[in-house]
Amino acid sequence: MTAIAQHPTTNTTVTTGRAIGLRHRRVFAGEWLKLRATRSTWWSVTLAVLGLAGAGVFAGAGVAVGALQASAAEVGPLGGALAGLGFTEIVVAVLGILAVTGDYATGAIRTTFTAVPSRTPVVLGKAAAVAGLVAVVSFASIAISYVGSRLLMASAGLHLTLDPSIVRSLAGAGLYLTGIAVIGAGLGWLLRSTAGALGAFLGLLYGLQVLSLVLPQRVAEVVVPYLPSNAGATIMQPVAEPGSLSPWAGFAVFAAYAVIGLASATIVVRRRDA
Amino acid sequence: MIEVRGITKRYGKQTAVDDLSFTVRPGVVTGFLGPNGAGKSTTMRMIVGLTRPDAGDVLVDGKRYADLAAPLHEVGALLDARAVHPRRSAYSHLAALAATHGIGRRRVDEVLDMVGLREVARRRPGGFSLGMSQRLGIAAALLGDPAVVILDEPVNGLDPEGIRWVRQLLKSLAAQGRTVFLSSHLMSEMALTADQLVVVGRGRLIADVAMSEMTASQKPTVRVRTPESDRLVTLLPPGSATYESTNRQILTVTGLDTERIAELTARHQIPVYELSRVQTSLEDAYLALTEHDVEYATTLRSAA
Repeated sequence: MTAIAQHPTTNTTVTTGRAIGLRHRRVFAGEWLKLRATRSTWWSVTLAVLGLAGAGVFAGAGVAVGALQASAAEVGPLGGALAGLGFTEIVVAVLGILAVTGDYATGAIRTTFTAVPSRTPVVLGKAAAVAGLVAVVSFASIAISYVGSRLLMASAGLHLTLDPSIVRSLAGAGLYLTGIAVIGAGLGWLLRSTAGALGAFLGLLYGLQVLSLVLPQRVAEVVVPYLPSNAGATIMQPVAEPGSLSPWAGFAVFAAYAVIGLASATIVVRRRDA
Repeated sequence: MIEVRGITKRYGKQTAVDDLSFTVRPGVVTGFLGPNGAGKSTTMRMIVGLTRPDAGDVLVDGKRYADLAAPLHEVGALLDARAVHPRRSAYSHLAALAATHGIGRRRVDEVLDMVGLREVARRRPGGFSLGMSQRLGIAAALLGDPAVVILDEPVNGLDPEGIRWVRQLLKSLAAQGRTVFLSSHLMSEMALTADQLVVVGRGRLIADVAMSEMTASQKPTVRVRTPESDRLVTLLPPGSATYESTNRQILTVTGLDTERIAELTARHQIPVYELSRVQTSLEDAYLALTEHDVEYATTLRSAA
């Protein structure tokens, strides 16, 4: 047992601002390692890349081989670069959910909380790890999607215009997916079960849409633009749809959902027995 | 040093831990005993802050667990060997834990060597035997070189070599001045490992004694081998002697010491081939102590 030092090290770190920053950085490093070392993460990433990049390339190829009409009206200003979004948003939500519920289902969360008894850094570290990974994957895949679509369509004589609203929409889709993953993680903390969190996510994103059908029109006009899916969609639309919020206002509302989810997760996780 | 101060934990109407207080001292191995459902695991979880007590608190080296700046350097805990992600390699499991405290990869390799899992470190724990999982859990507990070590049933599923290794490890940790607190249902193993015992039943403290006191507190038991066992039985207080099931020449006598029995047999001229004090086992002492506090008694035992 020579590996054990004779005198146990006792850490007497004073909790200064720097120490807290260091603590968050270390917990993030641990969560990043866990996310990377989990196989389901890479399944989700693969599906997200295929879903996003595949959609644009598929649309471009459709025009190139003549299956789709080579007109801007037919393919839209984004050239179908975001056609895979509806599928990918579920994939990244699952990634966010599993990053949390995977640890609950296996009991590994208890080991983590023993190492980090204040727990808040774990909630934030996991969110940061998930957000970072999804952001990188989304931006890269969307870039491939758009560039692929653009090149293939150009070969068929259709030249897409790249103006600031297009750049904002493409980048906005990356931000949107990042937010979706954070919402997934938040629901994972609150509900602790994969099925429960996924159900809640689908309800939040799609179930609430039903409101626009059942509410009186005057109420719906006020409420519906603020629903997470509608508010989040504004930043990905080159031309705003009538009745919706402006792109950045809409994204701010959407981001607020993610922040509120994470904040309530932090409160609940700190109070609950693990 | 672990100071448990009046902790209570209720789950609905069930009181898992009821105003429990005891102190676990450094330098010795302290065993934590009690029937199933006595509140041992709940108590251990409250020590490391996973479960919040309804009343009372726990201090580890004078501080609340949640206030420890670097808990892994102060307390190493193995509460459930299966509580690891089955598809995240053993190495990743330890490395992620180490990262939260800025502990280097060299220490991860070191603890993997200590527990003998170096060769399988890249494999996923989902395929580990219970014994291998226990070794991984012990590695995690030792990662931060802690002054306090808490282990819940660490030898479950270990092979004899592994059990002996854990025993020697725990003794050496205690000898280095660390606080070692472990629970186990293997009484023979506990008897060999622990110096001090904390016994609980139905969430309450039953005993907090040194191992030597625990086994000495029982009534003396003496084994007598004599060809005239039937005559000896009639001379002993009723109910104090029982025959060995396979050999009627052997009697087990409780409540009388060897001297008294020797005098008795000499006076009545009963030839004695063998007369010896039977060392009370920890198991007997433990069962006698917790008899009335068993949560899930079997009919067989209550009939016996």
